[in-house]
Amino acid sequence: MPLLRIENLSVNYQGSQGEFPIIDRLSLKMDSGEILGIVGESGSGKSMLALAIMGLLSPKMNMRADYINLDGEDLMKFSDMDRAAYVASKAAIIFQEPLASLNPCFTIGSHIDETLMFNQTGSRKSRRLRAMDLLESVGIFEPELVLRSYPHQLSGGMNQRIAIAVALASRPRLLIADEPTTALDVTIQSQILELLVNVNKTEDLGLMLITHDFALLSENTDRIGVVYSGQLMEHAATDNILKSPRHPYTRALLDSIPQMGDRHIKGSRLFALKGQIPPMDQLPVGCRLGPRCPIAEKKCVNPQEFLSIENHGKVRCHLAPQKLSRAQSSGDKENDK
Amino acid sequence: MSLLSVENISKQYSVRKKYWHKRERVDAVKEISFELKEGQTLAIVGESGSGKSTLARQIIGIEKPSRGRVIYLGEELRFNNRKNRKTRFRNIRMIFQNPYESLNPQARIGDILEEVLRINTKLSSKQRKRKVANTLVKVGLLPEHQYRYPSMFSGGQRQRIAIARAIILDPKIIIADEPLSALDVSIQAQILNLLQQLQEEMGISYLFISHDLNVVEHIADQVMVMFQGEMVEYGSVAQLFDNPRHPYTQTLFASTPMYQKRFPHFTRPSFAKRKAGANSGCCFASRCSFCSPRCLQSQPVIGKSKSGNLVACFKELED
Repeated sequence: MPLLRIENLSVNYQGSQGEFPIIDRLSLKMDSGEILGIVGESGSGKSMLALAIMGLLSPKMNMRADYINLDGEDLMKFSDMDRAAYVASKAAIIFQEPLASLNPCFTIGSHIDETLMFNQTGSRKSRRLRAMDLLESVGIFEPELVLRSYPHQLSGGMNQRIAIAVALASRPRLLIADEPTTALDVTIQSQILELLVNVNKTEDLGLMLITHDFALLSENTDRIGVVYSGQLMEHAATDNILKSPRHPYTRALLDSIPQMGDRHIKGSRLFALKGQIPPMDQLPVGCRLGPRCPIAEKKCVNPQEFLSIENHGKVRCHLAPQKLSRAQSSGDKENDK
Repeated sequence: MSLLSVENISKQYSVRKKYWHKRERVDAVKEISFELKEGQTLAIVGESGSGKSTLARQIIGIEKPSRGRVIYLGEELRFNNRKNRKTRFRNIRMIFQNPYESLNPQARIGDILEEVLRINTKLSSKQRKRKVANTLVKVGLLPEHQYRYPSMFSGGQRQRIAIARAIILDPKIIIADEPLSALDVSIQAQILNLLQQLQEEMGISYLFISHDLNVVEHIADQVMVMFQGEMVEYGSVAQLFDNPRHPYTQTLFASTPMYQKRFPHFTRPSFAKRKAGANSGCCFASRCSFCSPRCLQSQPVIGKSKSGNLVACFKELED
């Protein structure tokens, strides 16, 4: 029984110029204890996916889905109020900007207490003890002092730890981390990531790690989903994606990161996708990567099916059954390994 | 003779921690010296607050350094000297981090670029127009883009405009302050390629400020690592990326996923454990896992280690 199962989730934006799609029929599955990475550029709809699961979309967004099954219950069948209560007890989200996600007017203690009060009864004393436990479990050494402080008195890394503690307070089964380390320094980034992975192991919860940084996902995730302009382009195990990506977009993303040991050589260039991500109201016909794709051909003007490929995963490209060679980027980069 | 050399540059700010407190001196940059050779790239690496951007501001002349000298082609660039400022602004240009903020939203692209020429050169209006069009082509945009406003462009295109503004005077040095960090991954590669292409065509030297180690390894010739305003390690890419010596550099590598495989024995950074004396002692002592009593008392002076890097660490300099 999977922890989270989404079938054909679509999110549309109702703008003044009509409706256009933000997420287009996205399906995915997650087990508990699993780490799922979601990669994509900004504007690809990866954050909207997180908000849609949590039910935090703005009223201008319309959401449709066959079902969103979270820990055994279909979210689409609930009324709005019931849904919010159910999601709050089962899932939690961490946002990118820790200072923006904490309320500057309240102490850390009251942040955590609010979530605890919502999810469990208990005396004030027992809630306080639990809050101290939580802070210790996210690696804060002086919980009593921190409980009394306000967010502006703490550093970015500390605030992100607190956001994680607040998220864990409800004992969620699913933890969504939406770019949890983008606003932080490299050294802090690795600490926060390590913490998230530890939490995933000890609490046996599902962790959805949304990021634009492939390097971050390579070490920790079990599976990766690649999102491009609202569509899931490739969804497969991490090893498969990193070693033999089948979708040209995944290939291009991996090639555009400088490889380790790739030193400054005159005339050497990285592989770069041409152009930029299309605006959602001006999507190309057929494959959405089409105009930017280095190996596009005539057939690409047809809408692409999400194909299952044996021993790999699912890919939205009709060229995927043949193995993609690295040839597309040769000439740009000679020192490939 | 090196193109640009910086000697013992320091910057102190006087700040009040709370408004009823006395003003205190904070060292943003402490005694940094380096040389930049023609056509080369020097990367500056460090976490936020380590003084990377402050150093860049001293060199380009936005702020006056508290001590130290900036020497360009054998001539000292003084902060208040009008002639010096002219050579400085003509030959040292800057690209800022966020292209959404560094371009005036009310000016057309053509005006943004032409203004630079109008102030710094004696070209006629026709020549300026031609130069603007040529520069736009050079950075991969079209000449007709000069009639548009910045809001009509995407992040990558805006960064190209910022680069066009930097190269339009054919400068010798460009200071790029985290030029990639506000951009998407696939756009980052485009901009990185453009920077390298311009360097090869025009022989520009870059002072490339970044915290992204794999980008630095890809583009740089020399690397300088900064921590709390001090230079803790300096060396060529080969020396520094094959054999980093300073404990802080090692923690940087240990916390970047891609390099964890290359250096599996480096320890991850820990929380601040001990309080180092305010002004005495090594700047990294509070977080260093090799810290000895000596590190808390006196400050290591940067010197050559066995592997050829310049390192500021007692452990490396002794044996």
